[in-house]
Amino acid sequence: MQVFRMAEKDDIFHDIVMSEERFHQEGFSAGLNVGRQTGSQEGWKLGWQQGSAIGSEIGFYSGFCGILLEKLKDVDNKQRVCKVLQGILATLDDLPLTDPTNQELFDKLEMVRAKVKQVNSLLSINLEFHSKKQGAKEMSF
Amino acid sequence: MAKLQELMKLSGHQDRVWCVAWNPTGTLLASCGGDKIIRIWGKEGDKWVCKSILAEGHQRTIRSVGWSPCGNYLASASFDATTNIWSRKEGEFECIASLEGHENEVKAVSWAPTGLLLATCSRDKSVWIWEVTEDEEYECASVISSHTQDVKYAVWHPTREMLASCSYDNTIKLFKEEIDDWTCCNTLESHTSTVWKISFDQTGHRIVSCSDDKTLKIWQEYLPGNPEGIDTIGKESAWKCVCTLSGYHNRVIYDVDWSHSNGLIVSACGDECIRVFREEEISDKNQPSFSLVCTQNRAHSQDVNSVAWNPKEPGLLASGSDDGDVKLWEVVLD
Repeated sequence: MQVFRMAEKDDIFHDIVMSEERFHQEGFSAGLNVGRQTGSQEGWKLGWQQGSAIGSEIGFYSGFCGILLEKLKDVDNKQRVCKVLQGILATLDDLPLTDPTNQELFDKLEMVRAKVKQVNSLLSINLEFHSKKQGAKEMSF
Repeated sequence: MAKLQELMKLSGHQDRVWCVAWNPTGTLLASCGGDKIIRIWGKEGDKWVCKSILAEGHQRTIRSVGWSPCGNYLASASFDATTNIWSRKEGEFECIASLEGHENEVKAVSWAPTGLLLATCSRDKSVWIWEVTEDEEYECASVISSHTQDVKYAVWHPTREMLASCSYDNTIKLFKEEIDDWTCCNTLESHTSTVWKISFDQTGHRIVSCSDDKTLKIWQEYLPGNPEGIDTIGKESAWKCVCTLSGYHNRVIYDVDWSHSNGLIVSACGDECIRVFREEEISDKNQPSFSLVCTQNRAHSQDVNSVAWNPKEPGLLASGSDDGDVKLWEVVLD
């Protein structure tokens, strides 16, 4: 019995002695949970923003190039620009949209942007995608 | 001792001279710079004089000029984001086209040996290829955004339809046309800072490059199935840095030109010197050795920006500098 009492007494002291560590641990867990939640929300928001910006850029190119191609496909002296437009549409169809960490997505998007510049030059127009959200142009993971 | 002999000083530019370029027959020299003016110099008797002044073509600094292989056209690249084409008819120059498309400063312009293609490069990181149509129109054939930084210079291969460019991203890239589009087929990495200029040798199997890292590098082409056993990918050649010339230059090297008539290499440096190099007579193709032929100290009173060998007269050299002067030099070998 004596031994048991000692153990009980020990436990009380143990609690007091170890309280700092325990509170630290509890605080850490609580903080971690809050951090996880806000981080996940922020990440979701950023992903939504960037994704929608890239998505609308792709949609913009796809729509305009489709219309231009439709209008120009039978014009004799516009066959070069038609080829470029077809190239753009083919590249857009081929984008790996489901995996945002795929570098190929950004390489191909860069290629499309270059070809859009070429179309602008060939037709003397100024087709330019204006993103309201900054940051879509340069993205890194 | 070999030396550089100053033949003439051509004064006239009101601001720094950025580029000097000989026409293909070596009878005319074009120079351009910060004063937004192109000067055409020609020989009258023993003297070189300013024959024409091409003004009011550009709104900002003219960074570079290039002659067409036929010698009848001159292209000028400017910081105002445009490239102008000047046609020379009966001795008079007339601006016949202005190529727009680059987002900002155009850094260089160069004609393909066929005269049917033109390349421009810019601070907007892109290289543009223009095709000359039958009725002298210039159509954009491709926009290449392969470099990750400011593209300093672009030049065509002397015989093949291949383009080379160098950039602030420390690399040299080679481009070829593949199924209707131009793509990068080689990236040459070794310089540790901006590559300012590149020049092919006469055969086109070698490139010399100059850089902010104060070195010149010689690159050798290895064709597929080469006897040296250098790995190549598919039908593409491999390019390897076979020689680095370091310790000669004290500051940035802005320009380098490999003579197609006598094989000498000349460099223009920020330390106000012009240096001439030569490959040694007993030199291994895979490990060539080059030696300094001569150094012209204080060739100009400020940075030397441009040097160019006359294509017809071996040893005749033109240089342009921040001090606003263009100078003609003769290399006197021992």
